[in-house]
Amino acid sequence: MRLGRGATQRAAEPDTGVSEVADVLVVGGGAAGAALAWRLSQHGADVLVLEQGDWVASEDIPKRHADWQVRARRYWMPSAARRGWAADYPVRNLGGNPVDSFVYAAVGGSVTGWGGAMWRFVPSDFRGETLDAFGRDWPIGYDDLAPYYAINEAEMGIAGLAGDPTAPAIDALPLPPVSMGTMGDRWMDGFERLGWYWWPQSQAIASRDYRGRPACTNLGHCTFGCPTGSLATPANTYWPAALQGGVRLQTGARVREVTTDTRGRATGVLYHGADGAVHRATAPVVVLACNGLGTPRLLLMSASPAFPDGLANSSGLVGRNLMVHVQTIVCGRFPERTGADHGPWGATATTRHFYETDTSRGFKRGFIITAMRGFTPLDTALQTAGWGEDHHAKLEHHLNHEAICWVSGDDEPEPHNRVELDREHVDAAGLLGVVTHYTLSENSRRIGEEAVARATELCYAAGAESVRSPGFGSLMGWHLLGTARMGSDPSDSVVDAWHACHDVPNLFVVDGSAMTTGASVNPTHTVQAMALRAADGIWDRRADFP
Amino acid sequence: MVWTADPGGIYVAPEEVGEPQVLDAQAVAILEAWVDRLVPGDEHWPPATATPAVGYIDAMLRRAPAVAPAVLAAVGWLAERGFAERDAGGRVGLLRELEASAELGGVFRSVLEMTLEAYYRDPAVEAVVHERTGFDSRRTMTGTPLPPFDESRLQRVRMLPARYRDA
Repeated sequence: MRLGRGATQRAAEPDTGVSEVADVLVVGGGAAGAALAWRLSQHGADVLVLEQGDWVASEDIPKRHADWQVRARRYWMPSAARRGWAADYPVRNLGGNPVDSFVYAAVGGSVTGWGGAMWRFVPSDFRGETLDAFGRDWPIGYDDLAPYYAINEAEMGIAGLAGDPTAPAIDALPLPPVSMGTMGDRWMDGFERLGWYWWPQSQAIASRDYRGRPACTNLGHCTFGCPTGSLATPANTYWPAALQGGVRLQTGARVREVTTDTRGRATGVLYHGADGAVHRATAPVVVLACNGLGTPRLLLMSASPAFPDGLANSSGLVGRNLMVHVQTIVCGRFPERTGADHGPWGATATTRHFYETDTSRGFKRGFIITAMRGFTPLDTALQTAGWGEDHHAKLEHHLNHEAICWVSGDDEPEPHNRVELDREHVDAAGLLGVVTHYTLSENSRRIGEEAVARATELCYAAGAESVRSPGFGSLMGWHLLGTARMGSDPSDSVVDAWHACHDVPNLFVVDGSAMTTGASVNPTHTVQAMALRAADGIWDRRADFP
Repeated sequence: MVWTADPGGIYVAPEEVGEPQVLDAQAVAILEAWVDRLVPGDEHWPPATATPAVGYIDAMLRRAPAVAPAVLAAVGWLAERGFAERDAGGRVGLLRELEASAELGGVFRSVLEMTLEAYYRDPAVEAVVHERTGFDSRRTMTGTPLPPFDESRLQRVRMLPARYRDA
């Protein structure tokens, strides 16, 4: 919805005069919000979660339908800037390397469209500044999150294997690794020929029946939804348990601002309900779990005379230090068929061989390479087959003969990479959208070049005869991190080690925004571990929030 | 003027595709000739005109009316240059010009995308995809048994020293 330049957010309307009251108010029902709400309910807290989206209907899962490829490409597309769900807010992406921000406004959040990769960070990920003069150190470390990683592994049902020598030892995971299939075997052959470290990817996929969810039957293309529920999402793990534990969930609730009192403490929120009216919710503790775009958006929308630069923003860092990972793919073309129509799509095996800093490579930090599977007929045609007389020959050359390596590198937090309010576009409730600005640093460019070179090497070692890669012109925006970062210094961070805003001690940020650095790995497991820990911290300090 | 024709997340179900309602007869004729050159047939594959590609595009314009002016501008551009009267080679030449044009290149891309969407979801085309490439689009609904992960593959890696920094 376009307003034109200099538009202001829809003016505040009187609310209905009736407040929803809770012990803890959580804005956002995604990966972090669901885990936090569940954990707090286990302690006995009265939790209200406001989620701007709705439950994803079973009928809407693309893979329930014969035309799943078109459904996946259209209404299921992850790109928030183009998709246009009723609950979406406008997103524009600018900069030297624009991020195609991937956000799902739904119960379960952006995990709605994920592939299930679950990683623990390693100890050095929390000490970038000390070890590598990279970014900032987190005010917490691996040992602080370790017990919460273990809880999340059980709750989400992670399939994988303990014993990875590129990470600290862990207890056995609840489920064995998912099946690799023929392409997985080729990738493992490649890793072995190269002599690299590698390990089966840990994934939130039920490799056996688990807590009422059936074992995966290798339907493939997991990001297009899992009709069986074998792929874990917050909607089929934390949410049922949270609701059973008494958590109240309101969907279709667009929060327009966090309200504060004369002491500068958060008192609750105002939100546009599904009925179109403006409602008020109050609680002694308010938690924002709206992801790396949504959380700074809400903090900035909550500007007031007391907080003219946005709520909790005395540091000026709300919205800044956006990290997205240095991401691209390298697609190998193999003489043999690659089984692109089946198998867990997000990963087979993966390597952290290049993870830790090795200054001889000419950059700080590192990257992972995740060996995956091939594209659909429609996507292969769009990417490789062009049009005209040779369309069919090109399609036949590429389809079911390709498999992807996904690379992800550690991009340094930089203030100019940021999220701002979009003064030109509003959502259906008249609330401002966001604009992202992102440009790869020189260090990130070098990481990317090396990652592509190594992934290419892996493709050929696995038997590929050619490769293609789209490069880094535009970045896939699956991971939106760092925009309300954690730190000990209030002048250099937004939240403290327990996720409490330095400026507003009963307001918490619990999502990827709080990450101080992003590591090189998929963040969901760490986001959820942080949320579980934050819940315990809130509960332990509940006497501070009368 | 740079035209854009991105329907974004608009989805058109197969049952919504029928007789054109937005496109007039001339536009339909030009689009039929257009998609015929985008995906011609051969001895194995049907042409796009054997699928409801133009009906799909028309239905998309109904669902996303903001896109219609751009598509009609591209159709008009082709009509002005006698697209329908040209032979196959002439049509390909005009389409390449359209694709390369600053004003309408984005529209060309959108029409190509919509054509491929309609084409590859057609059951007859899915059957050819399976026959020619082995990719079975129905496996996403039926599943595929796979053997479990073979831990013996990790024999070498398990013997390697730890490779991470304590902090």
